[in-house]
Amino acid sequence: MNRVAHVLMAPIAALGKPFVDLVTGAKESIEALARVFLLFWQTCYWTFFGPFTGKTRFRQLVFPLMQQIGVRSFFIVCLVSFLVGFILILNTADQLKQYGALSKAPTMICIAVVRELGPLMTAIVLSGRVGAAFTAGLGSMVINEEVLALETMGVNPVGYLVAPRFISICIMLPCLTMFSYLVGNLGGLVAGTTMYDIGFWSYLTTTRDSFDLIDMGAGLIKSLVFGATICMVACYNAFSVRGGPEGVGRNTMVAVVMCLLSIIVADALITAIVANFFWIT
Amino acid sequence: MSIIKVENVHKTFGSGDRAVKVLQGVDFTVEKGETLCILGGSGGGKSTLLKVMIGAHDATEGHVFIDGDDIVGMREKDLNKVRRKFGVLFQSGALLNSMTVGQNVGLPIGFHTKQAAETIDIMVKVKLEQVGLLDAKDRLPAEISGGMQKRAGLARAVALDPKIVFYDEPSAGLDPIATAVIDELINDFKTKMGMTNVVVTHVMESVRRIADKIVMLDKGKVILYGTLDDLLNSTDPKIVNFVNGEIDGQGGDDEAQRRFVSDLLM
Repeated sequence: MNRVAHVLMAPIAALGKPFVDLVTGAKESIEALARVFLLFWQTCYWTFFGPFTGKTRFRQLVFPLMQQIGVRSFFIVCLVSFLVGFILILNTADQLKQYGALSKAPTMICIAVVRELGPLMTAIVLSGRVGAAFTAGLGSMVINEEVLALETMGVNPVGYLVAPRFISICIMLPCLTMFSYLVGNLGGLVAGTTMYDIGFWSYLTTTRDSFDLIDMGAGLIKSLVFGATICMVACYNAFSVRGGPEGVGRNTMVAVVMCLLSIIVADALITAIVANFFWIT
Repeated sequence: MSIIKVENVHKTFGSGDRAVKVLQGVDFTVEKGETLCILGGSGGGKSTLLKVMIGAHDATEGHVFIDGDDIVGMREKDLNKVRRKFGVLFQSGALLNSMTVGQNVGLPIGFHTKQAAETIDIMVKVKLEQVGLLDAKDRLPAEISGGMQKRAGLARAVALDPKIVFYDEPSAGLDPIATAVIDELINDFKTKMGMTNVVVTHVMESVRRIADKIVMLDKGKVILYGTLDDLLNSTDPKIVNFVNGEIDGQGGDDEAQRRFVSDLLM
């Protein structure tokens, strides 16, 4: 009897374990997402209302962070943007030339850089550089009990540590994105004028005519959302560090991957919304 | 009236099959101006008890009264008001590494008082002078020794002249001289400033120097609550082994552990 029961139960048991794991994993993911949104809510509170409580130190904290996020990322963002513009021309100009549309290459570069690649590449660079730094820095503070020390001093860690980072990245990411627009198009200009028969002034005029404020606005909104996403994901992973220095390394890796994934998802959503309203005719 | 009252505190981590009971019905009181040492072996629940007492963890059951206010289940806003009454020295010192020693000490003063920067600077100097660290005011935590970091952490803990100071393993990682310096400071805060000290430690030398009362924990339960004499005169084998520093101290009833240690020493 027992043997029969065992044989009958085996497939159910085999199905049961992965099912329970799946449900547990889904539950944990939803809980994590809820905590990220809670952190976002608290960060917004401290960002907008914190200064009125007198319990923030934005003036001392925000400018050094803006320098760390913006100024020190400037060169790498410019380099990546320049090369992206340069590579885009190299990959597309020949095809356009076959259809006699080489003169449209600057338009294509401008639209691609302003709508999509400028904000996206800048956010990807900052995910690796700044997101990782946020998680590693704040995670180390968690394991060294510095965050607990702040709490016991009555200093809110979200107001003191997260809100200044949130403000800094939300200001600096759009600024860097603007530079990436400029430098990305410059990359296209250099490749287009030196390697193909596109005149310098012709390239500039076409780029100017292709430049659209709605595209730029959409790109900047994207960069703002990307900045907020990077900050929230990185800080959430920092505050959930467990298990000493090894935990900091693990969460830093997770934070970078989650940042990249979240940015792509947010990008798809914003692009779909903006395209629905402005671009699809 | 007791300044701290810990009443039937239980703390469990996890739930269901994975539940770990770290504290089981802990009861004791601390009178104003006395130094209470919380002793016990590793994993006995000392640090968890301290974290419950400072409001970093909520007790699963029971009450913790700090100067009359029950902090268990208290809202963050109200808890922050209670936290003004105590300072905490963490095991690592927990100084913010991006700030100088002086800025670390000035942080709670700047947050909780409306003093001008010059006044805060004077207050910081006074606190650093108390712990003998005035020269290190403009240095970063990474540039000073572990003992100095602890003293800086202590200056920050007492920056707002709290009624109570909690210490989590203040002598961990320190040499005997640095440990004696910290112990002397703890005694100074009690005698000169009337502060109440709660010290988590497992260093018997420190206990002999500073303790008025002792709580000894074993597997989350209080096995001794009394004075230093009560500790030294106890006949409980666990306490005797702990005091004498014998290898089968706390948890000495565990045969496997005894055999493992004996094998190591052979």
